[in-house]
Amino acid sequence: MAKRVTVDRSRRPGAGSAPKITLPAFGRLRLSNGLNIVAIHHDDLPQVSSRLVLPFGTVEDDRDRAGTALLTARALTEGTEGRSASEMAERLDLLGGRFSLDVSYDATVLSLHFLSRVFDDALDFISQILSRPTFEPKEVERLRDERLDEIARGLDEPRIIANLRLNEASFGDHPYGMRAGGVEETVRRIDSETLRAFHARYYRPSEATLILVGDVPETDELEGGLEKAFAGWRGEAPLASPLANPEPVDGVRLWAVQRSGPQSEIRVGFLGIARSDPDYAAVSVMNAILGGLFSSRVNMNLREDKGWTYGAASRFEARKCRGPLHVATAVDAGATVAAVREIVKEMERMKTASASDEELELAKNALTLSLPRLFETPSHVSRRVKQQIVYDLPDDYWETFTDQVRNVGEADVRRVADRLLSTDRPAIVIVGPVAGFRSELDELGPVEMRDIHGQVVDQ
Amino acid sequence: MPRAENGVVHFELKERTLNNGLRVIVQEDHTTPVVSVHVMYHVGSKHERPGRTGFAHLFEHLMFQGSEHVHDDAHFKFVQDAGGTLNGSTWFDRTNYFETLPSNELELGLWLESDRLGFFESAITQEKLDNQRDVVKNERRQSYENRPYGLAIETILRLAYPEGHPYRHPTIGFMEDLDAASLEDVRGFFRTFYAPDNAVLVLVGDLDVEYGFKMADKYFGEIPRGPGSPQVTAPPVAPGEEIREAIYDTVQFPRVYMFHHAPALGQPGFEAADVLGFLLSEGKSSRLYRSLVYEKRIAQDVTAQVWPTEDCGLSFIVATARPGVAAETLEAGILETLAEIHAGNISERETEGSVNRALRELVKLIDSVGSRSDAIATAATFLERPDYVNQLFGRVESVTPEAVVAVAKEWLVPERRTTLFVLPEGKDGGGE
Repeated sequence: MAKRVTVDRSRRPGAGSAPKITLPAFGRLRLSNGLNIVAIHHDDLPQVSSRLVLPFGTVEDDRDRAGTALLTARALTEGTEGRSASEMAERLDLLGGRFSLDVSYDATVLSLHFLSRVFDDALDFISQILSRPTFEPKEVERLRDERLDEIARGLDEPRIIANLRLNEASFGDHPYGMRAGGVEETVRRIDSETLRAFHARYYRPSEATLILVGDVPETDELEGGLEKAFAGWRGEAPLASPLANPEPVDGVRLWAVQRSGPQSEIRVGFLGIARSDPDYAAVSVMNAILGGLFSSRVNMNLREDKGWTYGAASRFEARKCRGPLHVATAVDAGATVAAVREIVKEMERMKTASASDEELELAKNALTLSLPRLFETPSHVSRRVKQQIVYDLPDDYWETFTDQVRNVGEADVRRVADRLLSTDRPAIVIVGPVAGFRSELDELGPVEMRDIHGQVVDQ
Repeated sequence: MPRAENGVVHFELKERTLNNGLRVIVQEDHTTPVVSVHVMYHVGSKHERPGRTGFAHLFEHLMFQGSEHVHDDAHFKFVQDAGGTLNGSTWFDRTNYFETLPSNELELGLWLESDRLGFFESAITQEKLDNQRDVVKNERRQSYENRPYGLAIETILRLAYPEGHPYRHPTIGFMEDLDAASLEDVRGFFRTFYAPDNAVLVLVGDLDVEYGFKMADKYFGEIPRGPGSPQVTAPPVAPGEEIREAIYDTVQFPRVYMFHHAPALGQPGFEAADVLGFLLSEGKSSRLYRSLVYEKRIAQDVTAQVWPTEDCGLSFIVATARPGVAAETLEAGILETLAEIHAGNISERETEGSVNRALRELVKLIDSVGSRSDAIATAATFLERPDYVNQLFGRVESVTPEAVVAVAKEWLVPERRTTLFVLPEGKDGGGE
């Protein structure tokens, strides 16, 4: 080996010149049935990541039958005209495709990941489940039972209980306060007619978008193939229902759920922002300083300084309307109340103490210099594009994102912290061995004891 | 861009060994302007001495607490400030540390990794050890003790392996052993196992091969060779009586864990065992899913998989009962399906679908530079054959129905089996 270059270890090596970030070029098409297509060529591995986006999510559920949007999506593959559930399963599995669903408050996304050698068959599969599902009562009843099992099983998991209770404490009666896949009582009311009606209304090509990323054929060949595959899917969808912003909770909500175990799950949350909020970039930076990164304040405090937890983080989910913003952690039970105090203290500090230049730079760099990595694989790309479709962001959104983040100043961070972190009225949820620290907990404010289902129980 | 040919994927891997014994493997891929820096040390939980379970993993945590030129909490900051992502992980046989960075920050990754290999000891303190011990104990509480069914795997390891076997304890370790770990242990472990000649460095992504080797030598070349790290080989476990046990947990539904000893990574039958996992439980037409979840409706879920280990292999079939279903019923259902497989009752078509699903996951495994460098480092560490990554496609594609039946008959048999029921506390496992 050639003579070694001497190395100065005393400081971080300088970065080379920044690589040019090439964000994916959108190939847009609209088929004669109205279906929007976004096709993106990406890398040279023989795979395709496809996502079909319908801009209708669980907020469209009839409240008495919450869970309808989720079960409709799950039932698509469980039998289509001329093919039973078993035959559809065999077909998909022979293709080798991985099919998955994401039914959120705002949208329904059906993803199929497959090897490009089965391209035409995969498109045909997607078209078939969208346009000709049969919703056989026996299959729908099975799916309903499976969903009920799933709901029951979630009650074994402290972190799931904590998430559900935080949702209710934060959003109350707003549709965002309802669990996205429904609860036992509402799921029980769902039958095949419910799903058939939901499908007839919302599963239409006019508002839908199919995203194809990876080893995708050239436009002419692609367009012909898509027209042929989706010829049987027709119709106009309604507009998504208008949804009012949730109202902030009045006063502190401190909910505690007794559950034995060595740790407590803790959530401290507020209303966050809508995806269209002009402060999106500023909130991203604020969140990165508070708890979005490993080196953020809450993790450095609760984990690296105190050793109370394996990790503490904040996150926000910007939806069509104002979504959640919260800190989540699981701590050694004995440290529960102290940890809540520290979390609230860090939130206060976001509003009063300036972010240092170093913190601000770290947050902005982490958000912007990570872009190449976030567009690395076909499924990374399709996931980003999906967000653009659901939230109506322009095709060149990520090209402008860097400047938006760069323009955030220290005053903006304090401003959005002040706007959102209403530490005088947070929703606080604790799931853990509460009996062991109840008197200490009472010092935080009036405690409302809830059971694992969220029902108020005797103090 | 031309459409890739029929699933054939090949990566050009270049390998050199530095004077100090560090193996360096570089693979150029300019698709995206990112680079992965991956260091894999040939030390894992199987190298731990009695009374110090969990130590390899606790040590991994300490590697993020700074080194001579990298300030205590600066490691994460440097990587995230560069737009990168990072982590480490501990397995039975190895420990790895990795960053994916924008490609102009290759040197940052090499500087950080070489500093904690070459200049670690001066930065370690009792305070850091105590803090990370608390963090790891909370990791154990969060991910094992306070998670439903979270203690099942460590129970199985204890049952399936004889006293003193290197795979008998979980990587997270036991609380009393974590408490016992001292600074002396940290220094001794570091000196024994963290040496360039006990590691492999893999660089994948947007970099020039020669530049990669040059930079690897620049940062790692001056670190002295180690004293020779004693290797541990976990011996195969002889077939014997089936082992059975039940434990109780804060759960509502019984769950069956059926463990079988299995081929290790790269050994004959490993790919067939992998494909068998897909055939049994991946996809709604898979055998166990169709039988237990769809037709009989006795299970909420079922998975079958083989774990990639260096020495002797592990495989698991895990199924959760539906309300009112006993663990015994579920177990009988699994055994019925295994009997069908043993009888040779599988078709070409079913195998073809399973191979296709396995190939799909394989492509996904190597599509990002981070997971690809992991696969390359694993092949280099376990098999001394990085190019194994390029053979995987062919090996999986050539799995036949006969090979699947053969691997099931050899391994998925009572003599290789440990069956564990996890039952709801205070109940007999019969449900309601």
